[in-house]
Amino acid sequence: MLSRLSIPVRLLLLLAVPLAALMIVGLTGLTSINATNATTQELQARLAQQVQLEAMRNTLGTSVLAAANGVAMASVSASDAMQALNKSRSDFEEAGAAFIAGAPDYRRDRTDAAIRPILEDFAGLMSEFENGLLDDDTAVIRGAITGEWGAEAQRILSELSKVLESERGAADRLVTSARERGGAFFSLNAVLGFAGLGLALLFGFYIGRSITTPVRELTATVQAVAAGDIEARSRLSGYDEIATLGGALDHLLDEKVATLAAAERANTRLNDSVIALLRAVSQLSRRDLTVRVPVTEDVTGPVADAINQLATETARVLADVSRVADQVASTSMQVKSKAESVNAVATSQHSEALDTADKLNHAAERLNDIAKLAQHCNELAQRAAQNTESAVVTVTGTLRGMTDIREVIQETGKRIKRLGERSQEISGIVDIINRIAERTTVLALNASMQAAAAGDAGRGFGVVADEVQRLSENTRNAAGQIASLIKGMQIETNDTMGTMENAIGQVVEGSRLAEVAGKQIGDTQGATTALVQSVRQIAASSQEQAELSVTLRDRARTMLSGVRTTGEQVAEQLQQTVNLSNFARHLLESVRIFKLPA
Amino acid sequence: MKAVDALARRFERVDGDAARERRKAERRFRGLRVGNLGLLVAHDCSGELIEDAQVHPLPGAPPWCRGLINLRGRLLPAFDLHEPLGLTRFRAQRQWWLALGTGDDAFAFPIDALPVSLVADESAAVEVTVVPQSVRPHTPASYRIGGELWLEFRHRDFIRALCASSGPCS
Repeated sequence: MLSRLSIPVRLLLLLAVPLAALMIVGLTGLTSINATNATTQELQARLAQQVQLEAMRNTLGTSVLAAANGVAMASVSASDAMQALNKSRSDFEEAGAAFIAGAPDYRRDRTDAAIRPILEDFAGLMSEFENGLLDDDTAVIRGAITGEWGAEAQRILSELSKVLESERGAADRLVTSARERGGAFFSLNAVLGFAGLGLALLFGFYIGRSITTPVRELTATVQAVAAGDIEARSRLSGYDEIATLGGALDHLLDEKVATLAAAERANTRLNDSVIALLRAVSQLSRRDLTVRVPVTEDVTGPVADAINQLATETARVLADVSRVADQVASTSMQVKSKAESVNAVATSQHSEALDTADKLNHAAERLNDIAKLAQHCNELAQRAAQNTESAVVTVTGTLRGMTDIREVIQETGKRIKRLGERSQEISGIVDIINRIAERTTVLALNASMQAAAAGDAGRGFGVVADEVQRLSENTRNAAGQIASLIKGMQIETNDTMGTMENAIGQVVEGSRLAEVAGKQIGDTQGATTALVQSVRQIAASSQEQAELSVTLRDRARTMLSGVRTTGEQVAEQLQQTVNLSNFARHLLESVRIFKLPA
Repeated sequence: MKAVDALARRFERVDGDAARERRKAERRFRGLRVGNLGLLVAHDCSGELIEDAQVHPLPGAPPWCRGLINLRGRLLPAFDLHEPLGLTRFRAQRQWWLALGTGDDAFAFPIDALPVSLVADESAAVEVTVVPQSVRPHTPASYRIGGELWLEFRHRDFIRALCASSGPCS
């Protein structure tokens, strides 16, 4: 029957039975607890009443009687005793009221009936006490205490004790009944609990068995199949999930067996194809690209076809590679030669870069010098501006001076002209003297020659003639000197005149030029100011140029390092080209080991 | 002593015999400039300096014979020595003619500078090779005086030879 139920239902049953048992036990326990609670409340109420009764007894037995005895013994005054009695009375009545109020509703009437007479009696006793105290007769009081009052008090105490005993008995009975009731509930709970537990265990056993048995069968079936028994089946029947699982497992195993059989057959065929394929690949591994793999219809067919295509393409590619390797080898040799040329060019560029860097460095230093020079020129320009201003003043003074000079020169020219006229007169006189001296010389010569021709007689005359000739020659020489001096003077005078005129002209020109110079100096001053500005800008620009040249120098150094790096890289490239050439040659050799189709 | 006697007396040098001997070795000349040649004639040769002489040409005379000069009634032949000596005449402001000799030997020739008195001794004698061929035979000696070259010139012999070479002209 359980097999007809689904596993969730069975599990639900497995949980529901113990839960039901637990619920029953719980309800029973709850009932017992409620009863115990009610009993406890009752018991608590009765205890409270007992406390009230005790309080009443103590009030009567201790406070009232103590006050009365005090009065009797005259240890307590009547007023104090009255006060004590009043307080005791109120306490007693409050206790009594509390006793009555503390009784449950169902027995309040009985409680009231039980305690009311006691309260009345106490009230009467208190009245008598009060009356007695009011009389203030000690003997009477003493006598009443030992007589009727005492007896009444004892009787009231006895009543109270009875009520207390009654209450205690009722409480005892309540405890006993509660104890008995609790034991009954306990037994009932125990029975119900064990019954529920047994039922739950029973249900659990059967439900668990209904689940674990088919599961064990499924496990055994799977283990058998794993061990190799492909015929193992679970053959579970039922309508639950496990039965469905078992049926599915059996079906799966059936399909699996069929599939394995088909796979086995396919593997066999595939194995044969693979062997053929391996043979062909073996031949290919021996670098024989002329081999062709037979193409079958199985899964190796595409592989064989692919291998054939691979071999064909590989052969074609290797042929291309061989051709390309040849070209690469030749091209690499060309590249190598070109790389060597580039390396040489890079080396020369490096040296040129070095030279350029040096020249840039030198140029930077020169620019620096130029900057300093520009700065110096700036200072000089400023000084020139100052000098220009003073030059303006100087030119103005020069102009005035040149005017004065012109006048002086003109006056001098006139005097020189007069001097020239005088020298001209002197020259004429010198010519006359020269002529006279010349004639005298001729005469002296003739006289000398005549005296020499006269022999001894003319000797004296010859001497005189020689002396006269000498004198005339000296005169001629002097006249000549004078003439030359005069001529020189005339020449110099003429030159001086010319010079004076030139000087006048130059003075005039100079004046004009001084005026122009003054104007130009004014312009120059402006230009100098502008020049100072320009020089200042040049100085600044030179400084910038110097800084720029320093930057260029640094960049040149960077370029140099770059050129150096380029040279190194070119050298490396050259080496790599050589390696490439070697690799191409090796590649060619490697390709040639393959047997290619014609 | 009268002044004339004093003037006629020979001067006596202080250095005495040495000076006398030196004076004996010295020869006095008159230096003449003809072209660029310096010619020396005897100091005691009679002569006269003529300024701007008027020369009367002779027809048919050789080129070097310029003509005749009337010197106070004396007719002197005027010979231009520049032509036969191959010399260049200096263009002077005045043309000086020098008449040498007396009597029939006298002749005049143009000079390019006034005559000067020169003294030469053996120490001034030099050997000169660059001398015009026409005058070489008539220059027995040559001297270097004052840094200038002077040739001793026998003018009479030269004129005679010149006239002899040119035909009757004496």
